[in-house]
Formats: sequence, structure tokens, C-alpha cells
Amino acid sequence: MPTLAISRRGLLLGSLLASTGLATIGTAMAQKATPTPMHGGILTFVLMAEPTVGLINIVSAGATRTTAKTNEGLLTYDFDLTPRPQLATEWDIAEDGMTYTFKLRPNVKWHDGKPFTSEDVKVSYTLLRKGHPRSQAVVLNIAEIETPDPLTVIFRMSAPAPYLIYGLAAAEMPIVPAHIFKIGEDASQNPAIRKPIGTGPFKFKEWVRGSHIIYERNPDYWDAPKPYVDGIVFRVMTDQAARSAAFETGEILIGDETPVSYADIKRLTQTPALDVTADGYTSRNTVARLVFNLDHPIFSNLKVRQAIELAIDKQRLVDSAWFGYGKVGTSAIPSGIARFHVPVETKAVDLIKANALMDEAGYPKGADGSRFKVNIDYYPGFSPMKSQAEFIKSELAKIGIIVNVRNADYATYVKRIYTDRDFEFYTTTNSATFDPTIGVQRNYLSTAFTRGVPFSNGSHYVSKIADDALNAAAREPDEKKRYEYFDVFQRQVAQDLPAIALIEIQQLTVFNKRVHNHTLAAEGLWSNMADLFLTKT
Amino acid sequence: MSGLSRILRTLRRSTLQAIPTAICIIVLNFILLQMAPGDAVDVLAAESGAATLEGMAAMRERFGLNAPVIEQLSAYLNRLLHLDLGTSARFGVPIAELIAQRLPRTLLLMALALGMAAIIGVALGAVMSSFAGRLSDRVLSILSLLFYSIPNFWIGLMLIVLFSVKLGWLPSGGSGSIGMGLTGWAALVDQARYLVLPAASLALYYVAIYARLTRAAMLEVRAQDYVRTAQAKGLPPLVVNVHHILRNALIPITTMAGMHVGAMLGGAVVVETVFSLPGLGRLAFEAVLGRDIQVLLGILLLSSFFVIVMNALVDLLHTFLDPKIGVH
Repeated sequence: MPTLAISRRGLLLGSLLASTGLATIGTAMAQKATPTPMHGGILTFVLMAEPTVGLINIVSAGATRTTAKTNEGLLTYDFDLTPRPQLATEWDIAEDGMTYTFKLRPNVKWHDGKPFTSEDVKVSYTLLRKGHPRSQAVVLNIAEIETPDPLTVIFRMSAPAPYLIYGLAAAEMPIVPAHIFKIGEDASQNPAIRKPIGTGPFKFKEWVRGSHIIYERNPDYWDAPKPYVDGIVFRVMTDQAARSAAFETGEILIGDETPVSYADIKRLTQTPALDVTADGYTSRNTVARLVFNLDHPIFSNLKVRQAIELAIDKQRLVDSAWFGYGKVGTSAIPSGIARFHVPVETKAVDLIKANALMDEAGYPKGADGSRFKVNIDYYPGFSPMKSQAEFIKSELAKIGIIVNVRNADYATYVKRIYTDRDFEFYTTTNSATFDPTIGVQRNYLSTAFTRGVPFSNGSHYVSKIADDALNAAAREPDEKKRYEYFDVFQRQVAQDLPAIALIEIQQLTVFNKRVHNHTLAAEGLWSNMADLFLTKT
Repeated sequence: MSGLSRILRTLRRSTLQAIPTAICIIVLNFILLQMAPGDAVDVLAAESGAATLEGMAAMRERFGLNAPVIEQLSAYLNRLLHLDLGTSARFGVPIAELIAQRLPRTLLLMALALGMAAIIGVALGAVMSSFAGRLSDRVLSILSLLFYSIPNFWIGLMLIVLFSVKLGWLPSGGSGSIGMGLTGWAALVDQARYLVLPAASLALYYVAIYARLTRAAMLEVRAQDYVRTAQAKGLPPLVVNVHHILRNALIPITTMAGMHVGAMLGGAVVVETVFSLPGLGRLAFEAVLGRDIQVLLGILLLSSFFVIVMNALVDLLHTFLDPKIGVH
């Protein structure tokens, strides 16, 4: 596995700017042999936000970092999304994609000593299908779950779901015990989501709200002698600068999704104790998009949107607001989903043509050189998003569009855009996930335009061609045919421009070099961390 | 009038004033918070990265967010009468429990910071007034101006950089060594180590205020006739300074300190965030961002009681410091 990790690292980091110094660090790391795993030590893992409803993602999605440590999933994934066994040891998908059969791992015990069986899988997937905000889409086509014997589970589908097999990792699809959770109950009220009992390498010990969560080693873990560390302490630290300091003092050993400012990365990696990796984000694929309100009189005009596309220098955006940690966006489906990505939005910056398009659109420059004034809103949850909005403001000034950057907190932003629709255009981040049907389609499908639902089709894009392509791809088991459908979809979006793919964000995991084997799977730090071990220095 | 009956009358008056004040605070807060765009369900759904209309409607139903505002308010007041602060929409636990977990640490932080600020501030002020116009006064004046104008999150970060990152003497954040199982004296020392930097960064701003205030008040009192009399009696300068000048100068300082208790809760938000302390200030801030209105109302209610109690205490302290101040 380490060899794969290194080649993957090389690939991803190669795409980064050499000036960041990351590439050289990556190679130095690769040449050093990994030490043999040893037992002992406590891992301190930083959480940028505290889980809200519970510590396992059975009915909510705020606990992606804690879930898999206690509650495992059916499968885990290589960096290229090849499924690997976790609680399922073998699996088989029928030719027509309508039946999935999983053989479960024998002799696995829950933390309270009861045996793990197919009934647990049935209860868990029924709960996920009913209430999980994000994973629901993945399992929606499961019509029936059969348990012919304690170690076999069969999913009977209502329609093929070609993405299903890539979405069964623990962080989003945890398995919970059937003797504690019941089908039909409101699982958010079950105390076990706050004191999880699982089959995983770590057991819940303590949760002090606002401060920390303590997990301790499960000595009876099925994959002995794993886990290696004696426990995990999740520290809640909401301040970015404070997290940087805690990495430097060694109080925090690891954190994912760029826990420190991009501006700090270079300085931190120059300290002898710290390093970063871009691995472990294959199934997330976070992108930043500029989305137009197609119900707005100005932005309903295609020529205006085309002019804006020609005016924004995406490479300069990556280099400035994102400190070089990202790639220029070239399609609605990001290049991270390599199986279906088609680079279709690659127009070079052309201010002359952009200005001409604006004139044609019927918005001539006034005496002061400006055409009109609009507001831009930005997603407030990620610090470079504000600089990105400022960057767009300065780019669009060049074609006479005066942009006012509106500041808002999370709730205001969400309500303004998805409920009140009181906006002109906005930037957002989205996780395109591991499959376009799960992560991309919700932003473009006409039926996904749902007032009041965050991160739905915010532009109010309606296209019969895109709809048909997406709907066909969603239930097409053949990957080649799916590629063709997604190709049609991507070309249509590039033509209609309901949104512009700005950048593919490079998420980074910051870690202390005492920590080894932290990123072995596509899930990154969302994995169960059974293989992770600490060395003294 | 005996001391005890004076104290009792002060207390009774404060209690009688507290009740309508608290009710006004609750109703005002409730209405103000309703005006904030978005609700707890919007935030929860957005944080999940995806949601369905049905799921969101079900959540709103469960948290009682669908009802008309006036109905929500009466339900809330009704619950308060039964001494129930409600359940957090965001965390799914009773609000009283959430607050009880956070309160002691914030109180400790505030007490430490205020104590530190008062002692250092008054001492500096006394020195400044004794040497008014001289070099030591000028230097201390500039220093206090500096402390007054630097935002405390920045001071906090700089203290972290110096004492945690560079020198490695103190922890950079958190509320205690986790999972060490410390008890007794060791636990106390451990907690204190984690509170030094946050209390210091919260205190510095107030040190400046108290120093300036003490200086001005002492200079004013120094010009009074009874001070000249005391000096003429041949009392040692230290006795004059402490008993005659400082004691009389303390009235404006204690008044300000009483008011600062409320303000400190606001400053504590920033300091608790920078130092990752699980305190009430951060809970309040996160409740605002998460639109967890019931939690916020609970905290505001508690803080208003707290401020009312502090004001009563300051009143009592005044009657002790200056017997002329009584109940009118």
C-alpha cells in the first residue's frame, strides 16, 4: 500500500506549483523508509468544528471525522477508489446491477460483546436510506434488504445505482448495532449516537462539549494487533491561527481539510516536525464555482455570463486567493472524478471579446466607464472564499461591471440564496464526491431546484438535454455509456453557463512527522485509523 | 440604620428591580433573535452539504420552529416558569446541561482576569498618581494606552507565539491536560497553567482602564481638604495614600468593574475562541452562528441575572466603602 500512496502523492503534488516547495518535500518523504508499526501513544486530532447531533453519521453528516473510528463500514477504498474489504469480505454485483450480495466478516464483535451480523447491516442501511442527508442519495435505489443468513446481506435494487459500490465507506455509511438502533425510530434521539458502540478499532470514552472527545483503543478489535495507538483525542479548535500554533507546539498531531491558513502552509512545512499531504481526498473533490441567478434579469442573459467567463483569469485566481493550492476548473465534473471528466471550459481570458459581448447584450458603458452594479455573495465557511470574491470584483471591473461583495454569516447566506433567492450571483464550494450522480447532479438537475434546501440547484438551471443526460447516467450500469451521457451534460453546461467552474480546491492534511500510516485510503483521515501509529520523534 | 438591615434593603430593592428587567430582556432578546435571517435547520442542513425538503420540514417540526412567533414565545416563557431552559436544536441535549458545563470555566476566567486587572491596574494607577507628571507616570501612561488600544485576540495570539511556541512554557490552548486523570493539587496547577494566558490577554485591556481611572480619581481626592488634614496630622504618606486617598478613589473603580463583568463576557468570546476554551462566550457565539436561539436565550438570561447580581454586589460594596452611600 505505501508504494501506491507515494505514486499518488507524486501525481497530485506534481500538479502543484513548484514554488510552493511541496513537491520537494513530497519526494524527500517518499525516499525515507516507513518504520515498522509500534504500539502506544495518543493521537491528537484537530476538529475545526464540533460534531453537532452526534459522533456517528447515521442521521446527520457533521461527524465525518469521528464516525469510522468506532463504527466501520462495509468497504474501504484505495486512492483510485478500488473497493477493499472492511466489514464485508466479498461482494458481488449482478450483471444487470439490480442485486448486490455482500459476505460479511465472521467473528466480529460489537464493543459491548454482542456478535456482528447481517441484521446490523439491514438496520443501518434502512436508517441511512430514511434519514441521512447526504448518503440518502447513494442508497435511495435500494428497495429491499435481505438477510438469508447471519453473514450474508443482499440489496435488491429498484433501479441500477452504478455509484453505489463506491460510496460504502464508514464515514458516510456507518454500521450501527441492531440491538441498540431500531428501524423506524428517530435515531437522532437515540443516546447511542452520542456514545457510539461499534465494531471499530476505537471505543468511545468521553465527550466534553466544546473541548474534546476521547476514544480509547479497542483491545478486542478483529484485526489484531491493530490498532496501534492507545487512543485518539479529538480537540475542538475553532480559531485558525490557534490551530497553527497548536501544530507548532506539538499539542496537535494531525488535521485534515487544510486546518491552517494556506498562507501558513509554507512556514509550517519548513519546521522540522511538520509536513503536509494532498492524499486522501479522492472521494471528496471539493470545487469552487461561480453561480448565476438565472431568474435575475441581467444574468439570465447568456452573453453577460459568457463575458464574465472570458474576464476571469482562473490561474491568477488560484495563485492569489488560493496561494497556488488548486487547479483551474475546467468542467462541472472536476478532473478528480477522472472517469467522467471532460475539460470543456478552457477559454482563454479575452477582455476585448468580453467587452464586445457586454455591448451586444445591451449593457453599454456609461460615462463613468461602468455598465451596471451587482452584489456577489460568497460561502463564508472557508477563508479563501472572501479573497476569491474580492478577486472576481477586481476582474469584472475591467469589463465595466461594478461588484459589491456582500458579507454574511452562514445562516444568512443560505437563506438569501436558497430560500429568499435575493441575490445576483454567488460563489460556493461543493464536494463533487466520487460520482457525478451524487455530488454534481444536484446542482444542475432542473428537478433539484428546491427552494429552502441548501446546496441544491441554486442557479435555477433548466435544460432538457442536461436533465436527460443526468437521469440516463444515474441508472446506466455500463461505465462507457455513462461517460457518454456525462460528456453530453458537461458540454451542455459549458454552453449554457448556469455556473462557472472556478477552481478545484487542493485540500491538505497537515501532520506531525511522528504520525505514520495516517492516509492509506481514499477516505483520508475519515478512515478508521487502525493502521496509524506514532513514533517517538 | 444598622449594617445588616441596610444590606437587606439593598438586596430587596435589587431583587424587585431584577424581575421586570429579566422579563424585558427575555422578550426583547426573543424578538431580536427572530429577526436574524435563517434558522437552526438551515444551518444544520447546510453543514451537512445536502438535505431534502422533507427532512428539513421534519426537523423544524421537532424543534417547534414552524409555529408562529407569538406561540413560540409563550411556549418558551411557559417552559421558563417551570425552570426548563429547553433543549438545544443543534446539540440535542438539555440547555441547562450545556450551560452548566461551560459556566464554571468562564466564571473562573472572568474572576481571574478581573482580579488581575483590578490589582495591577489599581497598583499602577496609585504609582502613576504619586508620581504624576514625572517620567514613571509618562512611561506607564504610554503603556496603558498601548494595552487599551491593542485588540485582545491579537494580544492572545502574541502571547501564544511567545510563551507556547517559542518558549514552550505554557500550553497554547484548551482547558486542561486531557486524559491525564489528575486530581487534587496537581489538577489545580494544571488548570491554572491553561488559564494564565487567556486571563492575561483578557485582563490587559482592563488593566489600562483601571490604571487611568485610579490615577484620575486619586489625583482628584488628593486635592481634598481631608487629605491635607491627614497629612498635617503627621500621618505617614503610605497611610494617607491607602486609607484616605485610595479608599475614596475606589468608588468609581468598583462601579466600572461591576459594569465590566457584563462586558467581559463579550471579550471572553474572543479569548475563548483564540485559546480553544470551552466557555460560555464561545457557546454563545456558536449559538448565534448556528441560529440555536434557545441556547442563546438561555445564556442571555443567565448573563442578565449575573449582571444584576453583580450590580447588587457592587451596591453593597459601595455601602461598605462609603457609609454615606445608603439606600435612598
